[in-house]
Amino acid sequence: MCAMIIVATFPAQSAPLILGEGEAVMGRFVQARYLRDFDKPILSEGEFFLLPKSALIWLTEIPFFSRMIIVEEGLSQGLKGAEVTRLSFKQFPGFKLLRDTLENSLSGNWAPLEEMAEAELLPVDGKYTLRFSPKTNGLTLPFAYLNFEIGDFLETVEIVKSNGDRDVITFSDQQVAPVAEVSAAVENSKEKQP
Amino acid sequence: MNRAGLMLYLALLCSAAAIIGWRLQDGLPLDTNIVAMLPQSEEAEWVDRAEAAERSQGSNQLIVLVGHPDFETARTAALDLGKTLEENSIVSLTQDQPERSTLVSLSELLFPHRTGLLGEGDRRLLSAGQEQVLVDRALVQILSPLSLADAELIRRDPFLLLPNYIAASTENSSKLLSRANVLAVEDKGKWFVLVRGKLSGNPFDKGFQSRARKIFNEVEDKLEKRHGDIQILKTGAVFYGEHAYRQAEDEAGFIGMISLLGIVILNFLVFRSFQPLALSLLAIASGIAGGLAVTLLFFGTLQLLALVFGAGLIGISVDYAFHYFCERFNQASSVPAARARAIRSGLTLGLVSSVLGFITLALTPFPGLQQIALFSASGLTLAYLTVLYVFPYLDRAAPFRHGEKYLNFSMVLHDFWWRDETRKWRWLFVALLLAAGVLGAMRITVDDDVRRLQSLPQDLQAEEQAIRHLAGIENQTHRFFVRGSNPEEVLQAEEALALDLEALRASGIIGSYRMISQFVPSKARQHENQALVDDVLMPRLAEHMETIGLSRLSPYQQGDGVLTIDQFTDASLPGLFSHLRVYKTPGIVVHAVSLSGVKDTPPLVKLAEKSENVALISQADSLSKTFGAYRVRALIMLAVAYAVVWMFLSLRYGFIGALKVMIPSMGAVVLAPCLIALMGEPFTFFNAMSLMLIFAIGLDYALFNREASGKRQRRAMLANGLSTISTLLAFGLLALSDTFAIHAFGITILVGITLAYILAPRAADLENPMTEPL
Repeated sequence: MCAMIIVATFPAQSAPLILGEGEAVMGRFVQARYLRDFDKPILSEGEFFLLPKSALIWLTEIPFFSRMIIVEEGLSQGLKGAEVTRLSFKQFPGFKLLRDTLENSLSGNWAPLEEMAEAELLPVDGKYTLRFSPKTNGLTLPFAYLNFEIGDFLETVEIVKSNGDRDVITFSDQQVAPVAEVSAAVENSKEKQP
Repeated sequence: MNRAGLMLYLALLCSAAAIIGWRLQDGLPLDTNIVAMLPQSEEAEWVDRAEAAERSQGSNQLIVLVGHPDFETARTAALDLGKTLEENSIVSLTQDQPERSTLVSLSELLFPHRTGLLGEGDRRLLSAGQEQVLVDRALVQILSPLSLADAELIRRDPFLLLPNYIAASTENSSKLLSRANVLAVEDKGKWFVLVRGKLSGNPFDKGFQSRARKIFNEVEDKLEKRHGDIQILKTGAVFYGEHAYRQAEDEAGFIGMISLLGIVILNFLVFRSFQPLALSLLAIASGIAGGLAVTLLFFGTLQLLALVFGAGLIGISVDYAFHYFCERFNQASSVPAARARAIRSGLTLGLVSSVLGFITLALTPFPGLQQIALFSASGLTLAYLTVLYVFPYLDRAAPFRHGEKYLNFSMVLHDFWWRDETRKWRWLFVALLLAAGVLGAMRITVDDDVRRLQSLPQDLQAEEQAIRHLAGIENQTHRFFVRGSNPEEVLQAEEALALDLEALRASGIIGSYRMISQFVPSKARQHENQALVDDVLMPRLAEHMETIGLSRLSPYQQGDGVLTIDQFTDASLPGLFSHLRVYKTPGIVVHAVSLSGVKDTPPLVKLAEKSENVALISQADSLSKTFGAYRVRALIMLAVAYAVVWMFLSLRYGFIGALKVMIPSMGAVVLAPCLIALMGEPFTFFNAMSLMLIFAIGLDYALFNREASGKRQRRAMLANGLSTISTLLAFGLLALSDTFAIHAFGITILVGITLAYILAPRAADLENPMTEPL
């Protein structure tokens, strides 16, 4: 029951895909962190798995294997099977918004993001873009704004910080599959790690 | 003599009225806190001082969750509520949500000392030579798309020591999220926003309770009208205190009315005249006025339980009146002064015995007992003067022409104890009573646990549970105090304690603990941390900086000095720690260590016993211990009171004679706890206290039996019977109370007074009647 819903407001080009009920998505990412006054960007790449309303799993393979699991309450990072970081969103509530934004964007659920940003997806060269600068309602955010570039799926997100730092994450090889299948892939990915 | 007595009475009554008028200008200063009846704990002096300091900082909190499906509505309503409560001086709001500027200045304060600030986990890893974990952790955190670290932080702290330290030391179990400058939690589609503050007044002060409740109700109504479907969950000592007061007030009103009705009916039934009733009320009013005035004069406030117990003892003044008016059944004398003379010996001996007993009670270092003793002794004295010196002036009536059947009926019990033909039944009764007593004694269970002795209202408890569940606020029943002569000593003592607490946490005996040294380690610990970082982690710095693309001088320049607790004010310490700094004067510093999820107390007790600078504090446990200690003390003082009264009565009856007079009262006091044990009632401090009343009233019954002879015996027995009925009506009904203390009081009185009345005729001595008045 793959539900790829065509959004009628974009008749000229194919609309981004939205995950249907019971579906999840997985793919690869490349991240470049551009930190002010650093000699070079800090690069990493790996796989991601999004189980909507459950978890976003970030499996870094390069420069070394590590694993980050982001759930509703917070995130935990593990290295060689041991947890090295645990961060609760109640301590850093702005990250909760970033997590929700990543989940919505990776699952093609753009409507709430458009509403929060008070902007719509903008068609550019056969793709869409969105500058996401939400009203925060008193919340301190860990970013100034986000730039999204969207094809069928989210292709790139640029996270721009208020001090000029920015992270550019490029996604590729996205596959939509039933939740159970993606969950199984998550389990398999554990075996890859040393 | 009679005129002098009257003048004394009038002078005392006027003084009492003046004192009451002066003290009650701002209303009755009634204290509903049972705990305030208890003496200072028996802890070391430094612990008492630390507890007092904690109290003065306002440890009594008010916590409210304002719920609504829409976050903004819940937030607005919560802010409105908080503002109103603060404006009306009910609370001073707690800043749960630190301002961003506070966090920034906190980070700036800690930053120069970051290499000396290691969480316990990091410290263990470095000590074990596992610095790679810290290096990898920094890399993982730097690579994370949800990273706390920006370029500036990474450049100055590439190992991210400080953010990890802050995250580890400020972790808590609360489910509340910081949102839009409030703390909130979402549950089943509803947002709950927290309002928390320290109470601005004493939660057990009646005036403050009423004002807090009134304003809270008003603002609750206003918010409901303005926002519609709003849910307010509240908890705090002020609500429990106010409920206790209302419950006690309602019960006292109901029981008082029944008691009054009983006395009115008894009066009309037996005396068939309005005058005895009016004069009885005068005796009661004089007694209460005397008790209240002296208590207010010496204590300033009146304990709720002292009022209940004290008023019970004042009830004896009705007994005095009964004895006076039963003398009107004496057809042989129509002179009122003769009626007073006839009862003077019994009355005086009864009064002196009771007052001696109360003086003994007042010698205990127990504010509640002292109040009861003072209230009763002074009240009884005034009631005594009323009956002996005022009644004869107001009573001009001729002897009653009726009453023969009452007088005869009242002798049934007397005859049971003294007629030869009832000898077998007497022995059977005594044997049954002793058997029941022995059986009951074997079933006596002592219960001092204050948690079971409290009858907390279910609705308030349910609200408190809901708040705890929603907000994830754990009930912290225990804590440690740690003492030192300066902050460094205390922090080091905390760190030593933490080793044991870690073991207890690992074994599940406690859930978690929090201490200031988790945020500001001791200087010694910071130096150790610094050395660990220098020796183990810094050799990896160059490689780490190369990996992340940073090529500059070492960002970890050696800072000056170490972080000290003195660099923080209470306001600048994070909220999780500020309340742990309890007491600080030159030469003595006390910090608290909070514990949550305590499963087992004895290991904590053992831990506290390891050092004289560590004390385990548990309000419930320490209260229970105090209740237990004073239950025993009350019983000891009761025995001492009997000894003192024995000496006094020996002056009139001789040692053996006095003992015979005391046996009925002592029998009632000993048997009452046994018989109530048969009903499944535990024996508590409150039951022990009730025995004092049985002691005093029981002695009166016996003394009137001993002092009466011939025809007067009938009148004494009738008066005893009437006073028993009125006492049972007034206090037996207290057994129905939902307040455990009052219930325990009532049930003990019910059984004890009945026994005292039944056994009293044995105090008579038919062969050696007292013919000489006192």
